[in-house]
Amino acid sequence: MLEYLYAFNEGLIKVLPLSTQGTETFLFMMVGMFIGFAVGILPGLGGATTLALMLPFIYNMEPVTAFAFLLGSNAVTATTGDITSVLFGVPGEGITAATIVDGHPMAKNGEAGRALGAALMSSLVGAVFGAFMLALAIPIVSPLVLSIGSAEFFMLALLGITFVASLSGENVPKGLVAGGFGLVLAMIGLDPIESVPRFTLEGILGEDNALFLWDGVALVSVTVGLFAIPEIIDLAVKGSTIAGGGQPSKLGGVMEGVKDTFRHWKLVLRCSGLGAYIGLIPGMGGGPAQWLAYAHAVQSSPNKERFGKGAVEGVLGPGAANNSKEGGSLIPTLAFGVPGSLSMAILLGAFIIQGIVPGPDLLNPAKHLTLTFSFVWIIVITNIITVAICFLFLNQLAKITFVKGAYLIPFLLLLIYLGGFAVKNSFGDMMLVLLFGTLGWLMVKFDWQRPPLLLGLVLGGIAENNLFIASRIYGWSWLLHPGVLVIALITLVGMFYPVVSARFRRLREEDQVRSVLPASSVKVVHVPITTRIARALFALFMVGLFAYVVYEAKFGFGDWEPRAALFPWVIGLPSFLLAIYIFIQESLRSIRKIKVEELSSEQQPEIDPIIVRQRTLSIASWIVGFFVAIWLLGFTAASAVATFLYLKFGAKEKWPAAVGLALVAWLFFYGLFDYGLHMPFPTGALLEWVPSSVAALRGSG
Amino acid sequence: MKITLRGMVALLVVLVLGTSAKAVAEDFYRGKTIRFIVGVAAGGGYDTYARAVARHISRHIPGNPATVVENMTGAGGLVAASYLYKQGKPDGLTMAMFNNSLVVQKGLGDPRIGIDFRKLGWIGAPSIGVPVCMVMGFTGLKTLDDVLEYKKPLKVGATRAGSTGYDLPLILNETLGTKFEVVSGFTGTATTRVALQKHELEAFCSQWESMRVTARAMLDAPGDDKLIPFIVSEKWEDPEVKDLPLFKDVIKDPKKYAIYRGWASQMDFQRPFSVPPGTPKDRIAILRKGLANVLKDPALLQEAKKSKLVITAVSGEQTEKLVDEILSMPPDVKQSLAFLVRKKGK
Repeated sequence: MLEYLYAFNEGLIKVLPLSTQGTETFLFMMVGMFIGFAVGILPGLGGATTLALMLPFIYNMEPVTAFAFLLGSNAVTATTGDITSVLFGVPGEGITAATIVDGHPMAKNGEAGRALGAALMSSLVGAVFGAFMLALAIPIVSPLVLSIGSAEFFMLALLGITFVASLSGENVPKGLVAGGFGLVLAMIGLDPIESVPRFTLEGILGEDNALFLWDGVALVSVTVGLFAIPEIIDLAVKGSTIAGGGQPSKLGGVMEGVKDTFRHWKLVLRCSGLGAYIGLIPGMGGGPAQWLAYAHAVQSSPNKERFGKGAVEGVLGPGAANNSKEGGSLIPTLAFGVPGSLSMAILLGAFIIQGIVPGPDLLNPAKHLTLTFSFVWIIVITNIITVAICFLFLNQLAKITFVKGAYLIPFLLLLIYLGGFAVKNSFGDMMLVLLFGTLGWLMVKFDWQRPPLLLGLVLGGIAENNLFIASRIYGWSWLLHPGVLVIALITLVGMFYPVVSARFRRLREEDQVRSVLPASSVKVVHVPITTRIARALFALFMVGLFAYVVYEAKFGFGDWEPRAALFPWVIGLPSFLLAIYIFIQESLRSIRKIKVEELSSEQQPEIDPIIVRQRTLSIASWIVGFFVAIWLLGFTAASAVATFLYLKFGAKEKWPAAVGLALVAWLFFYGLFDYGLHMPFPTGALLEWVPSSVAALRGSG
Repeated sequence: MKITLRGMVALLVVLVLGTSAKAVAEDFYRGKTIRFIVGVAAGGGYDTYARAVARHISRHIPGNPATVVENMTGAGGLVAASYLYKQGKPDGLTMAMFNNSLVVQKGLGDPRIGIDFRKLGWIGAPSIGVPVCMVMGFTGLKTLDDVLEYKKPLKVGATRAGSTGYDLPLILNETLGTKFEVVSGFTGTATTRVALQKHELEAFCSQWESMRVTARAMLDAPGDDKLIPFIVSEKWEDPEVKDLPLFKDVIKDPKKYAIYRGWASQMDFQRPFSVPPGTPKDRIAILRKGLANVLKDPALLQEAKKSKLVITAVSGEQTEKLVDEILSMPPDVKQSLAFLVRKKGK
């Protein structure tokens, strides 16, 4: 025990500037943090790619210094990624998307400061929690990780999937269908068992382009499209600022967010625990932690209808889980050499460069335990410093939501496309962004919840793989594993407890509530016939989609590879039937109930529907236009040209603003991404055609 | 803008150093940038090799071109290979590294791979693969004979078809009569290793040059948790595999050995570099020489040693020969290995 404490203490001393070596370590940690800070804020710069670029620098460093450098960078990306998510509705990192769902609506309500305060504070609590979990887990780490086999893994994924229902909002069938859609998205690509391509659309895309879908659709492109594009449309239609023209609500909001963290301390701790636990399961990846935490925040709340509209708990949960996960995911990396994510894989490479064998040595007080504990301290220290620095600038950052929307839109569009492009350095993901952007906008318009879709996407693959592995190894006997039974019990309690407790509360409070609250908090709205047709058509699209899934599973690849078709079949058929039900519901329903929050009457005045339609069409064409510009001119040139065109002709800004911002966009893209980071931007299609056709003309002349 | 800037820098270099222009092809690389396209994500073993070569090769190519590494992931390297084949500019400035199991898949007649690998220019490879099969201590088995005599099926883990973990056990079932039962669907080699540690799996086939590093803790573990190699493809100095039986000695029937060889020839040139069809011969020659020399460069070797990457240079000519060999596999071998090929729908 004493030797653990000694190593714990020694680990701290090593990363503090108390000696020459410590100073060097501390300085490199700062450099790493600075890099991580930028990477987290900018969509499109992946943490993993950055680490790969940083790796060659560590050859001549001391182990502690090397890891301070790398881990310092890695530890802050999740925190700063939340900032972009809250402010713009664009996830700064693939793993910070769940913060958008409630964080961005808060920004739109003029509470950006509070949302940021909550995100950062919960991140800090989460990070510290995760780090100390790591420290505490060290003596028992092996049994802890080994207790989770494929069967338990599957059950955990299943537990997550049952959260879909509570994320569904008021219309549970719609939520289930959205979740089913997410699960189907997770099936796209080569199936995990027989390498059969599923839903890769050879017939539509052609064999070559279909290859793009073999690895499935990337979480980043789906979330960026689903959340960012509808926000940009909304911003353009409002024609004001992100915060909707309201006045900055006394920027004390930041402190309010900090207080929220402690007001909901139980939730923050539970989500931190959840994140750390998911982190330590090898192979779970970054996506599930935040979405499960979000789902848990919703599920455990007595009034779910606040979520998605700016509930602070929806920011606190994922914020905490995102960062506690980092500490957790170091556990399998250190103890088993099993990287939980790509970033961890690169850290593993760094271990090897430093001549350290991941495994028991890292947990042994006589060997590298001090180093392991210094990781704990690096995570804690970098997070504290990051959050402290962020707080200094937070009030300034929150003011961005009061900047004219037209000035932000071109930058947001360029960044979301960059985010898509950077996934695989290909245009394919940019198209996915556009596609899911359209889908996301329609889902918002027709009251479909988006979080269930993402939950399905992050958990689908895990569930299918592990169900297969478990039944291959154990037959059916895995159903009786103690771990499986425990998780099954938790799942059942999780499903029924909120329902039962809500009923009890309702019974208890019914009398009082009736007398206190005016009955008119539910407003009845008549749905105009045009919307009804549109709603029905969208539901019909879902019916068609699942019909295709079921058809393929039966007569397509399922015909010659039934094993690969089992999961599509099990998910596809119920979703298909539910989609039909929704189609009927949407076609027949002429009125709908809208829950009206008490404050909503004070919100911005309604905009004339004709103007709304004009502005929607206009921004939609600009969104496509930016894509075309990038394709024709390449990223660097398009950044200037498209920004200028949008500001001058789309937003009708004056010359100086249009030219000035276009120049800023160009400098940003050329200077940072092209010149500085050597992003492999493709040459614009136009720039390839013109010289070649000129050459051809000359040749013929 | 970029071109003019680079051009100016190049001009400056020429003026300052006062170097006279040499032969045309050699001068070609001055002021240019070579693009390395890596068919897998940043950070993995492939990527590490590619980045190490890219960092150091400039010194070994006349004109000292700049280099840039670009990860083009997808479909197990097929996206990068297709790009190189169909869209890559044959200018000697575009080089790709992708998994050469694609060449085997093509040789076996996979209809999904529309690439004539003979048309690519092969620059060479920095390493070879050393297939190995290992069994967990808790099974009570220790040697190849134990495994051969074992009556029950041995559960062996794999990611998916086309990987060593999947293909090799099936080939051993075919050629040696082992009774491996492949459980596929693991997300990577690392998660497969954890399943072994959980005793969910009993055996594992992989490549020794990476196992000796990444599975070190398991190889050194005591008793039930020890991972014990029992057959390997060639003599290697590590004590765990030094005295093991080799595939080529154990698979005695020439017909059956041809089956193994048909699959294993891809191991003789791992992580190869190639250039698009139609790349000028003189530039291929420069790149081949550059790669051969960089793989002898002490700076690279020292880095490789630190990263525990084993460098075994395979020349461009040798790589080209091996590719041709795989693609002209005899029909009966092709027939026997048909079970490795992905099926295609109607």
